[in-house]
Amino acid sequence: MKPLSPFLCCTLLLCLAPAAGAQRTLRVEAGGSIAAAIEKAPPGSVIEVEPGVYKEALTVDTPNITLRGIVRGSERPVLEGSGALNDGVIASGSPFAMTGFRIQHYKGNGVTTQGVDGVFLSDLILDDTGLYGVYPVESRNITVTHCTATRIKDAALYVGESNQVVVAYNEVHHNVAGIEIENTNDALVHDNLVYENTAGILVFVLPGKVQKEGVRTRVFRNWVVRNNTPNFGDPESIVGGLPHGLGIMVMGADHTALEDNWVKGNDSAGIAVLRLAPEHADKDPALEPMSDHTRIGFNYLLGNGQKPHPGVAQSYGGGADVAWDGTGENNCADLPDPATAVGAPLPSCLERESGAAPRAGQTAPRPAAARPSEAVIPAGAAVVRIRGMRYQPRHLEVARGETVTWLNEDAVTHTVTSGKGTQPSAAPLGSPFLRRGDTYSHAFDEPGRYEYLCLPHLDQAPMRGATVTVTD
Amino acid sequence: MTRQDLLLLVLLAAGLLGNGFATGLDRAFPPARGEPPTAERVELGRLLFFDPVLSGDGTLSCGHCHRPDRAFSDGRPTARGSGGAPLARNTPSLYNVAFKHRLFWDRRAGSLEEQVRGPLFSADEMGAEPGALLARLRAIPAYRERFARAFPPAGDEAVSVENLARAIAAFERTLVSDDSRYDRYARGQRDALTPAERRGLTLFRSVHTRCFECHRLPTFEAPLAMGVGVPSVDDGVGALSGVEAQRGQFGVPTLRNVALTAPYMHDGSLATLEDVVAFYRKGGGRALGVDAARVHEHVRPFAISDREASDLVAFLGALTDESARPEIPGQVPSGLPVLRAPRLAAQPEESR
Repeated sequence: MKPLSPFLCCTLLLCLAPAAGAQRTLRVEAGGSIAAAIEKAPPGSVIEVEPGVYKEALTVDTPNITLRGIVRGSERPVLEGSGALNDGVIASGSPFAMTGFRIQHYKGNGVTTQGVDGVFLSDLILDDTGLYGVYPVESRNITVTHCTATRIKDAALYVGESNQVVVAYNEVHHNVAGIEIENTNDALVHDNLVYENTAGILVFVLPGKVQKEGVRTRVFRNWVVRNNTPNFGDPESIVGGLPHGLGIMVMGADHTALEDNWVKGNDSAGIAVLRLAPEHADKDPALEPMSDHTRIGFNYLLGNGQKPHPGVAQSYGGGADVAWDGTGENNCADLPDPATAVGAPLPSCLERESGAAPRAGQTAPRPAAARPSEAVIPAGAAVVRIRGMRYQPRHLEVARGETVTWLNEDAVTHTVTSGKGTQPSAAPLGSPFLRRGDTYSHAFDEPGRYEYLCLPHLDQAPMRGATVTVTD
Repeated sequence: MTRQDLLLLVLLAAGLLGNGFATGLDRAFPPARGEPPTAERVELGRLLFFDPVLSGDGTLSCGHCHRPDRAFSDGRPTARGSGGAPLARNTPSLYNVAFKHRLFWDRRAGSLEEQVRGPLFSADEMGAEPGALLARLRAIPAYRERFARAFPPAGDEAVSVENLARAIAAFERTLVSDDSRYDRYARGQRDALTPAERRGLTLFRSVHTRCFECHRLPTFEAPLAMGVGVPSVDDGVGALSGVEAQRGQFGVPTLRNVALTAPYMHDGSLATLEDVVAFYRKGGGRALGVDAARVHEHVRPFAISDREASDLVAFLGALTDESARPEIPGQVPSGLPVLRAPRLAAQPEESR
């Protein structure tokens, strides 16, 4: 064969250039069609969508597509199902990313990914999208972050039969289930605000799935409060049959770890650990229905179980901060001193690990709550004391380059978390949970006004809207 | 620009336009299960499959019920056994059985080799008796020779029930259907599906209809037993296990070539794909008074328009690929008639 002519060489190069990874950006103007843009987008495209209302159901089978809603203040593109369309988005291309949309009024779900490796769903507002808000299944490497999901009839943020998952910094409320991790391995569920759902966070293994197990879910630093909304799901579905008033529920999953969660005011149980009921488990003999190796570490449990759903009261003899049905192997809990428990008493994790003979019903020694204020405060740092459920001073002015140190002097736990109003954000301020005597420091190198709040207490006005102003 | 350049350019353009990038639906099939077929075993298996010598009375072959022209099903609500007596369940297609974890509607067989023995030795079906069957086969020199070649170095010992099952299983493992128009679409040929079929594909993957949850890509089946609530006295998996919660469960069948395998469900009670979609649209057995405990929680009524229902049916039609359909041998080593005409002639009236 002869060498190719220069003409053909150029043509070939032109044809291959887009495929070689050059990112292509397409823009959809208000009134345009997102589906039409997806149809002509080659792999690797970013589709930017202007604010506007788009009455579309989108299918994304092209690999490596990003749907980026352009957010201008309170304006963002809206995917509108009008109660007539089935799904907001169905995606099969890997990877798939979607940010900056509002998705509402679909019959089935907001966004589903099926068999996708690499899912990034961020800054989505999902309202009334049928059974699910987001529904990644048979997928891996999933991140669901900074989404808001409301009025969803089954699980607002659901992940099923998937692996390597992060669900973090989301706000979910007024759904049947807030977050559901089902037959899924290696999920991190953290820093979510989960309130006023029927049930807050579910870590489940259910029958009739190809992936049978659900192991190593870690649930930490979530705010799981007042999940007492009466169940408005389909009573013939498993989630639709749940009693209201559940904070965090582990059913059939193994090696689940629950730690540093703020679990408060859930009327049936703050944390429930139980087996999958035989009538469900028996449908799938390959399934192991017990919750084993659940580790309930230090969580902030307060006022749960005070008005239990009759079903819970009957099964466990009442409501409480923690309820265990007594099944499964090697489950343990280290409960703070005033925490209440119903059902079978969980043995202490710490005692077991320190080699002491486990004694059922014995809670762990309480962590040193009242540490002396020998807290390390960097020399020259400005100090904000957290005292009497207040940041003092509430508004602080410092010069650029200065360090601010927060010191918790309250008996209860607080955080210092960036956020406007009641909406926390990831950066720049992000303290761990601060117990009495703990400090958190941050050096402010950029001038500006930094608003922050306390994650466990953002429902209390003095604990949000505090600021640090950095002058040049 | 030379003529050669022009030709290449045209080919390149055609390639880019007609066959774009592979979509996310382009998924590898799972590895085939069981021992890999050899050419000798496949050919032996094909002859055995179509040879009525396998049945006790010399009238039925595997191919009488698993008919190649009907994607290896038989067009009847339930199969006909020995002497034409109706059997309990619908004859399933054999396409892609190589990938199935368990066989039979009640999933009682863990391998094709095990499955073959079922209908072969069942008195109601082919009614063979192992000793007599082997004696018949050993008396046919062509079989003796083919068994010996397919299963060296056993000689006469090669004609065994085990090897017969292995040969038929080897043949069945060649019945692969993975090049339908849907597959071409998945690989990037956008015009391989009509607009209605594409809408149907989207509906199939909707969390509203939830078809995809059991009929999983790319095989359109799943290694699962499910209850959908077809009204029936047949308890399926539960009848076998005795477990109450499994009553009414059956294995999830593949939808590949489904347009060719009417009627549908374990008892053939639904005549058309339109009927099947209508059944699920109303929530499966839930709408028919079947105990809800027998119906999987994902099988629930879903509201779709009539056009959407017909889109779904259109999509199912795009799963047809018979490229691996084998030739029916003109004659078989026993010399018995292959797929006798009377049974075929009786077909159309009975298929409802």
